[in-house]
Amino acid sequence: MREDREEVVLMLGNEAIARGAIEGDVKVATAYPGTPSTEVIETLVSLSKDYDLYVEWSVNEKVAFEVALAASYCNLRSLTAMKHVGLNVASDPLFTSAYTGVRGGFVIVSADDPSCYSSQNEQDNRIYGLHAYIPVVEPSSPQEAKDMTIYSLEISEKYGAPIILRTVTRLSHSRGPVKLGSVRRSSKKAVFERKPEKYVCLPANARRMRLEAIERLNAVEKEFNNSSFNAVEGESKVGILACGLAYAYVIDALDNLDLSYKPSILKLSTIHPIPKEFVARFLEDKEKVLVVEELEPLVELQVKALCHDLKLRVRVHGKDLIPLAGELTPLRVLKGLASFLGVNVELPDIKVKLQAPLRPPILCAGCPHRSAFYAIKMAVKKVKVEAIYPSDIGCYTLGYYPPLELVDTTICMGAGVGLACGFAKFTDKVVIATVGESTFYHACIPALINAVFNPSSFVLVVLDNNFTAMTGGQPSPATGVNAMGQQVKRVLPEDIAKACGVEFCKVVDPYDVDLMISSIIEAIEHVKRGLGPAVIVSRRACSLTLLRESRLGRVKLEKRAVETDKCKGCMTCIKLVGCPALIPRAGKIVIDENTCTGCGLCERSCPYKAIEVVRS
Amino acid sequence: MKHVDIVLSGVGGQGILTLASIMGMAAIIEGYDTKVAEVHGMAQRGGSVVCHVRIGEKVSSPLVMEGSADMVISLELSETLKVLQYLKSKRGVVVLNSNALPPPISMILDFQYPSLEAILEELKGIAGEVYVINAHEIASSIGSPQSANIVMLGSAWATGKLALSEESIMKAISRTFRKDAAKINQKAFEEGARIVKKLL
Repeated sequence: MREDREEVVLMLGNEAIARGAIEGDVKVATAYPGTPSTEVIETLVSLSKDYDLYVEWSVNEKVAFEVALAASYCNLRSLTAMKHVGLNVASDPLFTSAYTGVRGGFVIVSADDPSCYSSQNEQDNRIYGLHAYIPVVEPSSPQEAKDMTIYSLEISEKYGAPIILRTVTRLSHSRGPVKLGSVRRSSKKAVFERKPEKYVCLPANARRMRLEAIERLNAVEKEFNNSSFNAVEGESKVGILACGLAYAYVIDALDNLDLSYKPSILKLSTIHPIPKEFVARFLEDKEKVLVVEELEPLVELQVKALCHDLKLRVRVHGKDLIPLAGELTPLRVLKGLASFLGVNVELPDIKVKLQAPLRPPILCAGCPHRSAFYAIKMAVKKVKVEAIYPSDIGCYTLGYYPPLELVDTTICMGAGVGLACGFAKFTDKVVIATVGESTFYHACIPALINAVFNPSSFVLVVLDNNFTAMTGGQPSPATGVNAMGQQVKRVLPEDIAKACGVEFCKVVDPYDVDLMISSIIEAIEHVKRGLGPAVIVSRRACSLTLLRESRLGRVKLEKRAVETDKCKGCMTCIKLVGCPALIPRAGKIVIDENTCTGCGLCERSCPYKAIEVVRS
Repeated sequence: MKHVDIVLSGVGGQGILTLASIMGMAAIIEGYDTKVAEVHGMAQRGGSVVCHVRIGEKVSSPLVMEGSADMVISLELSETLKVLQYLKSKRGVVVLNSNALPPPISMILDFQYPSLEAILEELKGIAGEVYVINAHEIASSIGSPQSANIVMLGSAWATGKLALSEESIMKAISRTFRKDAAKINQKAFEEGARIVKKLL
C-alpha cells in the first residue's frame, strides 16, 4: 500500500477505497468499525503517518460523519466509512449535509451487506441518496473502487455535494488486481470561513438550502451523463442494464449462455441521480431491457419512470426476474437472464446427501464473555427467577447459541438497554441485559440515563473487553490509546454509569466466576426491590489479546489440561461450557494448549475433577 | 485456458484467507487476471469459511458459479461437503485435509460427525479426482502445525490443475510471510506437493 510507483497490486475492495483516498488527497478519515466496512479505515490507520493523514475510530457513526464533515467545511478532503446500518445512526447529519453542501470533497462510504453475512438486516443504502438528495455511485471491481473514490472526491468538491460511494460485502471483501495511480498530496490546511447563512439550518435558511440541494443534484446528473464509469457495450434491441458488482455477474452469466446474438449491456456506475439523457439513448431502440441490481429496484423504478415520461415502448424487467432478497450470485443472475432472454439453460445439479455438521461462529476459547454468560446462567439458576435477556451487537451476540442461550433480543446498536427499560417496566420478570463496552459508548448512554429519569430496574452487564473485538480489535474509549497511536485518558463504563445516576455499580473480573455469580445475585436482589438499574462491569481483556500477550511472555496464563485417566468422556464440559479449546479425541477430551487462556470454566464444570491447571 | 475456478472451505482460524490471497498474488505475478472472494467478520469466529479464487485471462465475478469449479480445496474434513455444489460434475478435483475438527455444537446437539469413509463414498459420484492429505500431520512433522494451509496449497498445485508455476507461488509466499516464516512455509509447500507427486 505504501507504493508510490504505478504497478498492479492484489487489493481488497476496501483497501482499494483506502488507496483511492490516499491518491485523492483525503486528509481526514473517520469511522466506527463495522463489517463489511472496517478495512477502509484500518488500512488508512496503517498509512496515516506516511501520508500526513488524520484517522479516527470515532465513538459512533454519527460522530464519525460529523468529524469528517467539519473537515470538509474547512476545505479539506475527507472520507467517512460505515456499514449500511451505521448510516442509520449517521442519517441525521446526512440529510442536513445535503442542505449545507460541502467544500472539500466529502465521500461517505456505505458498505451494504446483502445476505446479512455480519448484520441484522440487508437494507439498500442507495435509497438514502434518493431520500437525502445525495449523489450515489457504485463500483463494480476493486480497480473501480479505487478509481471511483477519487472520482467521487472530485465530483463532491466540484459541485459542493456530499456523495455516497456504495459498496457491498462481496466487493469490499474481494481481492482483485488494482493498478496504482500516482500519489499527489497537497499541503492544504484546515480553514473554516464563518458563514452562518450557509451552515446554520434555521428554517429561513433551510428553505433556501433545499432548493440549492436540488440544484446541486441536477448539476451532478448532467455530469453523470458524461461519466467514463458508465459504458454501453454492443448493439441489440435486447438490453441489460447492470449496476455496480451485478455487472460482473452479468458478464459471467452471459458466458454461460449459448446465444446467437449478443445483448447490449449498459454498465451503470452512477446510480443516483441516474443520468437520464445517457440512459434514454440506451433505451430508445430497445424492445426489452432487464435491470440487474443488488437488493432494491432503485434503478428499475427510475428507468420505468423515464420510459413513461419519454413515452418509450420498452418492456422493462427487473425484480420480477432477479431476486429481491439475498446476495446476487452468478447463478441467480444466470437464471434471471435465461428467463428474460427466453432460452433454456442447463443448471448444475450436484446433490450432496451426506450432511456436514453445523458450524456457526462461536465465542473464542477463553472468551471473557463466555465466563460472564456462564455466571449469569448460574446466578439465575441459584435464585430461581425467570429472566429476560436483551442483548446487543458484538461478539457477545454469539451468546445466542447453545450452550449459553442468553440472548433474547438483538435489534441494533444500543437497543438492548432501551428494550431493558421497557421490559423491566411492563413485565414482572427480572431483566438482565448484556452489552459490550464499545456498544455501550456508541448508543447505550441515553437509554441508561432514561432508566434513572423514568425509573426502571434491570441488571445491565457491560462486557468490557477493552476493544471493539468483533471487527478485529480496534481501540475503544476503554483502551487508553486511539487510532493515531496516542495515549489517551481511558473512559470507563462504571464512571459513566455513576455519572448517569446509577447507584448500584460493580466492577468484576469474569474469570473470578464465584465473585461474578454473587455480584449478579446482589444485582438481581437490587432490581427486584425496584431500586433502579444495577450495572456490573465485567472487565477482562479480549482473550485474543491475552493469547498475544502470553506469547510475548508478558502474562502467564493458567492453562488447563485433562488428566486422561480421570476423564470419563461424559462431554459435560462441552455441553455446559462449549469452549472451542475442548476437543473430543478418541472418546475423551483434550484441551488445545495453543488457544486455552486458562479461564477455568471447564475445570468447574467437570464432574470427575479431571481438568487441572498445567504445571510447567 | 479461459478460467481456473477454485473454491476453498474450512474453519475460521485455519489460514484460508492467507491461502486464497497467496493464490491471487501468484496469479498476478504470472500475468493473469484474478478475483478472490473472502469472508470476514462474524463468519470467522470458528465458523465455516468459504473462499473463491478465480484465475484467467479476464475475470469478472469474484464468485465461482455452482457446477463450474475445477477444484475444491478443503482444510477441514466435513467442510468439504459444504462446497461440493460448486464442483464441475464428475470432472472436478477435490483436495481435502483429513484432519477433523468437530464443532462443539454438534456434540451438544448429538450430531454424528461424518467419517472419512462416508465422505469418500459421497465423493465417488461427484468428483473426478480426490486427494486425501493429512496436512496437519505433515505440517507438524516440519515443526509448523499452522502451515497446514500451505501444505494443502502444495498438494493442490501438484495436481497440475492450478495454472500457476511453482516459482510464482514461492514468490507470493515470500511476499506474504516474514523471512523465517516464509522459509518454513515454502518447505510446507514442497512437502504437500511431494505427497501428491508420489500418488500420481
